[in-house]
Amino acid sequence: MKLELSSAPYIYSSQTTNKRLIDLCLCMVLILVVAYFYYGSGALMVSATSVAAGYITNILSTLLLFRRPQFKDISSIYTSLAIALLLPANIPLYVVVVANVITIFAVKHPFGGTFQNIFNPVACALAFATVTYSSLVLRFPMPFSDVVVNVSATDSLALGGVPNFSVDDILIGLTPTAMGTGFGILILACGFYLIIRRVIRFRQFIIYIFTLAVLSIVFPRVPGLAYMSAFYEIFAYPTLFYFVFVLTDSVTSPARAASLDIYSALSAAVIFIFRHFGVYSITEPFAILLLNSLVPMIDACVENMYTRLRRRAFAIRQKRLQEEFISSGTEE
Amino acid sequence: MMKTRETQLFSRGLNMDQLKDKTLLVPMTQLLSVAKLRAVEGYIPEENIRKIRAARIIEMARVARIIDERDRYALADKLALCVGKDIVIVIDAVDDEPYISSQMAAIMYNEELVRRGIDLIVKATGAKTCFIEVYLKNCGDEVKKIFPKKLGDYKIKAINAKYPAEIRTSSTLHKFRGNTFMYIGACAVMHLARAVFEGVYHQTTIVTVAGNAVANPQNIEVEFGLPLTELFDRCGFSKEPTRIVVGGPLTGRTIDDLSKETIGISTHGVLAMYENSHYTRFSCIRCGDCADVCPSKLSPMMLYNSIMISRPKEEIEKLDPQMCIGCMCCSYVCPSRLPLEHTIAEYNNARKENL
Repeated sequence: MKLELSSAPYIYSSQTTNKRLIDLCLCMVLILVVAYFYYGSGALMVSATSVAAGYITNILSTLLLFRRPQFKDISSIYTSLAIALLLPANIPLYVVVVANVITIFAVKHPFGGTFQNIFNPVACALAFATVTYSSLVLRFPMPFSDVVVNVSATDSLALGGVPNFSVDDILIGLTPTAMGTGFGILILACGFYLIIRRVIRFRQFIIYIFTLAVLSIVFPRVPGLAYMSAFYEIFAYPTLFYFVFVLTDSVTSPARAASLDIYSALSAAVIFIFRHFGVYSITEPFAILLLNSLVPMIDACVENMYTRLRRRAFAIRQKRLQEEFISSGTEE
Repeated sequence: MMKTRETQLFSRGLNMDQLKDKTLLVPMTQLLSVAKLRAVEGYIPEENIRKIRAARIIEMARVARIIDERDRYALADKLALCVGKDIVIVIDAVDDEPYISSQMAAIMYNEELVRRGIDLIVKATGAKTCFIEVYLKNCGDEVKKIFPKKLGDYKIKAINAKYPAEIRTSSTLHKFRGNTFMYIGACAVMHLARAVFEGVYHQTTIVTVAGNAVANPQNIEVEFGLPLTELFDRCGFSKEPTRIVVGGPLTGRTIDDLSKETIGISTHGVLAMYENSHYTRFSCIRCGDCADVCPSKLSPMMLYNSIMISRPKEEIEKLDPQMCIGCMCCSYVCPSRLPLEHTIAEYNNARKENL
């Protein structure tokens, strides 16, 4: 009988890194299926190109760094799928390739590869594509047609107007937007699935939505009804998609639940401020990059707080033990 | 109303499937190398508890060399400490690690002996009250149904805490809200009753033989010094195990030769585990699950990363690695299967050596 020697524990929780990634990818594939139904083969082409470009670039960069390529590593597929779903279905494929290559080469691998990046690769790719190819990235086709609309719902809001789309259209994605971001109800369903699967945290979700809604109501951009302003800020923008698939990326988020609460509230606030004062109508990638740079600071502050709490509790326990513990040679 | 340590337990920890049902539902058996346990020379067993003096009980615990499996203290010393202190005795049957159920089996299958043992302890110490604590959380309905609710006049209290409930049961003897509590292992109580009423030495321990590679998981009362091979001869393998674990699945240790390992006082579980997949380890994904479950409110992820990249000692010390209680909750939940606790323990060991 050949027996292995290893350190404890010998049982583990069923949750694994790969399972988390598979859950995220499954949700995105579901969104892609709906995107195909709305935008036709363009959606599939963009996604396939993105996944292929991301996967190949990931393997190539690993080889260039003289590391053994991990063919089973599906993190690049997750990144590429998210990038694709945040782009218009009619975008030229070279933009998709460039965004993937840049993010894998410049964001993922310089910091040590998979799960070592400081900045979110999806946010970086989108920020790069928005800055470099803004005319292509921010012009979206109408679903079920090839017509490219010059003024999307987000553009109308940025200009201080009211989007020319009904609430129903916005909720089911019948507006010109990135191919995976318009289906608010579907994305919410995916979000709840991921909460149940413990990939994202419910409290983080609530804090994010609540902060965004409160800010929208207090500083409404839509004249008239304040709650409509909150609706547009949450559903007309790709903010739900960014929250579920990008902002909650654990690698670039703070670690503790308390830090995540602060991070979520700050993210919503920064996104809202960028929308008010920013140049681009889509501000999430820039806000996420800014927030990523604040993560070490948030982590350090919260950890310091925990250290103080721990030490105070320890001191109280020690004091009680000194007063009450009766220790006199009971050891065998 | 008397408050117990349960109110002291932190809310953090693990809610694990206990996997004890198969083992607990099979009656406990004995595995001895001799026909009868060795008797204490010259001692005439006494059946009537009223005729036994308190000092005699403590003396018998010493003569019979009873060691409490809970903390490996001599039972006689523990009892002597409690005399005249108006103490609350807590019988510990908290088996909170999955598979392990040796203390619970002592109560389920030696109910009368344990009850009489508690009578002896109460008489010896003059304790004002006594109750039994057990961990039935996440056990199957059948176990919950058949597990005794009371042992004579002594209440059995199912504690509602997360793992590691037993590690956090505080010190063996401590005060809490005006009451002084003494914790005594259920098996030690059983051995005390045997020593007093049957006049035998403490020579056995209850061992849970379980795991996903064991054909007939069960609790066996085994004589000290027997090799582990004898346990598996009785229980059999359902498939060839890849690991043999002595102790619990979270805090035990693996061995590579069954015949060289023997049963000792603190052997409460032997597990044969089979794992056919080799998990690819990823780096930390900073999910924070380890920090969520850490009973000491540490950030195992930060500690692990700081130790791995050899951060300055002062920075690591800020994260309080010495407060790690070694419960393995962090390593259990880590989706990347990183050896978090192992790394922290190694750091702590190196730190102690340098002191």
